Amino acid sequence: MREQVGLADLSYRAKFDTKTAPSRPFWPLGRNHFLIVGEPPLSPPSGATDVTSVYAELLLAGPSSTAVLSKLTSLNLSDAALPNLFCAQASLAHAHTIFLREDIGSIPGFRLLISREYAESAWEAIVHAGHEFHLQPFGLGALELLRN
Amino acid sequence: MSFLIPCPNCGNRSVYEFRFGGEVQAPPTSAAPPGDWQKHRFNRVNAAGVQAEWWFHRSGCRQWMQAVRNTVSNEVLESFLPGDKQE
Amino acid sequence: MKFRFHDKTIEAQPGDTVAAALYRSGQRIFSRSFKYHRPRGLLCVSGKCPNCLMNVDGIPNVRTCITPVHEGLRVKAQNAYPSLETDFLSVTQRFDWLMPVGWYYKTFTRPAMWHAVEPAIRKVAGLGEILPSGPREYEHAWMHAHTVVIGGGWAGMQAALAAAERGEQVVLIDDQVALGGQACYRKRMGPRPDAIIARIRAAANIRLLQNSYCFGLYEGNLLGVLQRAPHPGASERLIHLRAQQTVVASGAYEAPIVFPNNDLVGVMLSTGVLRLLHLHRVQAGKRAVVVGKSLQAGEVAEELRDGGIEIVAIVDPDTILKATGSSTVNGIQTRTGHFSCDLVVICGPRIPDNGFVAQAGGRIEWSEPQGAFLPTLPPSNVSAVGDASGEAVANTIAPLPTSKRAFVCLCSDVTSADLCDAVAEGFNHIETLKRYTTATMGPCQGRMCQLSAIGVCARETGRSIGETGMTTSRPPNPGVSLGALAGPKHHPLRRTPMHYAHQDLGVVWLDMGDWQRPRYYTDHLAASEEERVLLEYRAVREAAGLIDVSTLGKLDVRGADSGKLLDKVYTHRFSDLPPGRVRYALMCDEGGIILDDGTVSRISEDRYFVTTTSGNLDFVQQWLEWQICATGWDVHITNVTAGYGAMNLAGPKSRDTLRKLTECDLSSGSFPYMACREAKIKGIPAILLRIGFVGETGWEIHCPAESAEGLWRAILGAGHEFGVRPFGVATQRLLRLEKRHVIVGVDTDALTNPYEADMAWAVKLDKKEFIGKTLLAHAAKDRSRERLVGFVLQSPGVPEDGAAVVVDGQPAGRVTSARYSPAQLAAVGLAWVKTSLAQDGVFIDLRVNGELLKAKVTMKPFYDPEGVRLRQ
Repeated sequence: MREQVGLADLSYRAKFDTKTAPSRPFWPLGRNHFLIVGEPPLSPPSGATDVTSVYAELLLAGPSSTAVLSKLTSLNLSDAALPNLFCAQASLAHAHTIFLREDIGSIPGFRLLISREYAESAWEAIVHAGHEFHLQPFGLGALELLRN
Repeated sequence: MSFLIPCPNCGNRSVYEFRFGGEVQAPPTSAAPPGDWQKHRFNRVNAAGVQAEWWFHRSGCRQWMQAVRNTVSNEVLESFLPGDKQE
Repeated sequence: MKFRFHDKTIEAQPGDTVAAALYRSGQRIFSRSFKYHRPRGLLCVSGKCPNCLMNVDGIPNVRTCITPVHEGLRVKAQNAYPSLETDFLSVTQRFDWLMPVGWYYKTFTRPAMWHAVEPAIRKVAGLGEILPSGPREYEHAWMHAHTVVIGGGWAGMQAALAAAERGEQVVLIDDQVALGGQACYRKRMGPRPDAIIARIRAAANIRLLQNSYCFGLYEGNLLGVLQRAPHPGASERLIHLRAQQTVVASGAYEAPIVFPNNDLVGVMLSTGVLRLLHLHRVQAGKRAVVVGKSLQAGEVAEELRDGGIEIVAIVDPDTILKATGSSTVNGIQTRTGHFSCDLVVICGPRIPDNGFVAQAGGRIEWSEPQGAFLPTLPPSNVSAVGDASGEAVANTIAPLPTSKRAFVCLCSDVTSADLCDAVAEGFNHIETLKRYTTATMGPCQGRMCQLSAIGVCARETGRSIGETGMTTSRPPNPGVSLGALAGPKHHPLRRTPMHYAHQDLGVVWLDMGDWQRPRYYTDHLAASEEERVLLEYRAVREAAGLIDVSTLGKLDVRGADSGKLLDKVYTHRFSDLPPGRVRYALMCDEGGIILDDGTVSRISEDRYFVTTTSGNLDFVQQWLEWQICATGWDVHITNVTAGYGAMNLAGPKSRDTLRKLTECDLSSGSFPYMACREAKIKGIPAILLRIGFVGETGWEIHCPAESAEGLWRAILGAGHEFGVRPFGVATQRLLRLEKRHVIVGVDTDALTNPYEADMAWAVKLDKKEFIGKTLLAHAAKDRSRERLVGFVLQSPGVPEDGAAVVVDGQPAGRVTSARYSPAQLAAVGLAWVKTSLAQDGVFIDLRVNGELLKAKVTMKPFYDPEGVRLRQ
């Protein structure tokens, strides 16, 4: 993952969808539309809808992650168009996806929120597209290692 | 057809990501006779030139917006969320 | 490196193209022409002409002169039988008098004639053959750049570097073997541009796409780019490249000169000969005649002499009578004499390659002073530089043949005589001439022939070149394979949370859009689909059944104006729905046409839970969002379809089953029909709706998706002792039909209103305002149209969906759904009939397997008409 690209399933993370700007860190999805994503347990802000089970969360990280994604989405993923800690929405392998750019140190990382029913098929598409870049699935242990 | 629509939320995106919602038309009042509703449903201005249209950003922010487009050149002159315009 | 050419092994040197390696090995004939099967050899050596097309690794029509060799390639000739050297079909050129221009229009004037010869023509027509040789991978990719430069020649490289120095993200596309364009093979251009190539490669913000070509410049500066062999796992990659600024630096290409026998093998363009010499160190011949005007021809001759090729003569094109030789050239006959040679080097006109400017909306106009079609008025985000812009290009029309039979179009063997005949027959406009003769319509897309064709047309019609004009440039040019356009095979699948539980049981799947749903299960020893459905049917009616309904659209609706919104979009009233109650919801458009149906449950004062049909979720959500957007109301809709797994437990034993898993009071007293509750089942938080699509006591249970498989297995486990079993969509369709429940989009169509569908009860016209009210009120008074009725067939047989209703020998309607009903012991169904027939007890005829069978109309459900079982 440090040299090529890796893919992890982080669907366990909590997600809330709300129309009023929350007081804690959030991802702006549109005018008056916000998303909160975090490690559980996470309490929902008032008026928010719990969408933890709605979205699967995949983490694609590594120097080649942009190259893998550009085979599956028309979204402009360059550093200028989607800098670290910015988000965007587009189709990925024909399924609507929320892209959260969250680099791990200097390694580019994309958290991909995909409607749960499409997630398995999207995982397969990403693995297939990543074949030429030697994409490897990874677990939480490797993620810890990378962070430290 | 591969022109770009400037989405107020997502920036310039391909028209393929959008669903076309037709011309912006005020609906008749609830007291209007059935004929007015039939016209509203089936008649279009179909301007060769600049017109206001509804677009839905299906593969992006999934919000409705209005765009002012020249139907001859496909140039989108302006796009906005209706709520923003009223303010 | 080695590769296979038919059964020969060919040695290749590093950097070789397939064509260069074959030429070095002695191969001279590379293809057979389209119509007359004349032998053809290398001509342009730059991917512009049709002469080197071969089948490479199973892909037909590959331009071998720009295809790099890699180990183990398998190359085959095409359009030649039995071999390139001996092609039986070359006999056709003796019968060319039978096939004048447009002969197929003139000959096959009656269908019978065409049918007689079609099989034979299909066999010989077309170019290349698609061989079923294993799976090939095609990829798509998307790229974005500030500046895209088409063409990696001198001008293109300069433009790319300049943009890169301004800090722009640049993509440089080149289709040739080496960057640098003619600077790599023309001595007069100075030393090879190695330094500038190195700078390009080193620039961090220049993305270099080599072995790639742009095939179209589309609206909004979208470029279609085809990258060959992007990595060992893929044969082609189609790149959607979006640019802010496009620089057309596609240069100029050399076109042939038209004279008799100008297509003989060994007649080559000067740039082709020089490319072979300098890029591949291959001498195209030993003794050459150079054909061209003095200065240009002299330069070429000198370079060839330096390369070790003997120059026999330099010949002015105006003096040529013909080339001689049978299949390969052996000399040139001019007015002054005959010159023997094994190579004729044509110094043809250089034509600016500016089609992309035209595709972008620019105009291409004839410039009399320069003698060339040049781009004018390109749009502001497209520019042309270098030879493509027309700078330093002059006299692009080659001397025209005085003799009538010389090949103008090499792709489809159109001669100057054919063009003259076509003009004489009245096809005197350049666009009609093109369509009638097919000149400029072949693989070269007019690069080799267009200017000559325009010249002949102008001469024959007595018009100037400017008046004659140019044909329109359209993408794709060059061609692009259908596989690349179609892209990768990935088709998205939507799987419900219980997908693998179904698979474990044994299931036959039903594809519904992207969803996969169980059609019926195979976990029991029944032989046919009918028997399996019947078994599942009996379980539901006699014990209980469990069906996965996770595909239902589910929307979470919150906000102060939620009730107001639901009142507006549905025909029923929801603002007064008390918490804990469910109501059927029917959605119509402004015309009163049914759009969708579902349920609305009020979970709490400020929260509604809305379900939609599986296929209409996106539409319904967009419809609701649209209303919110237009009104500015305070409503927040969240699509929670994927967040909930949903299952419907239905049947007389469903309460006994569920009671084992929950403390929730399930008695009809505290949990009546059309009520909803939030409760825990086996510790899993769930929303329970007491509704009954299949007509039995039952609950639709929604729980968090990650817990759904566990709950599914728990319910089946708890119900085992009562005979509870899973059932699929096929069984559900039968069960709902017995209850006469309508499926929107199956039993209704784009013209159906609720009155016609016999659902007047769902429309509350006393509501102040809702979408479709005016026209529904109008429709309520208008009983003249069709009605959806139920029918029971009076004899054995089951009508097909869509079967005709016949009254007095006239068609009078159609069947929308029909099944054999175990409750009625006869086929039952729904059908559209005239309103006058929509009464209990009326008899209609249905066409079943070609026979007319009697059926009795009913306006009531076929099973439990009073709905007693639902409420038990």
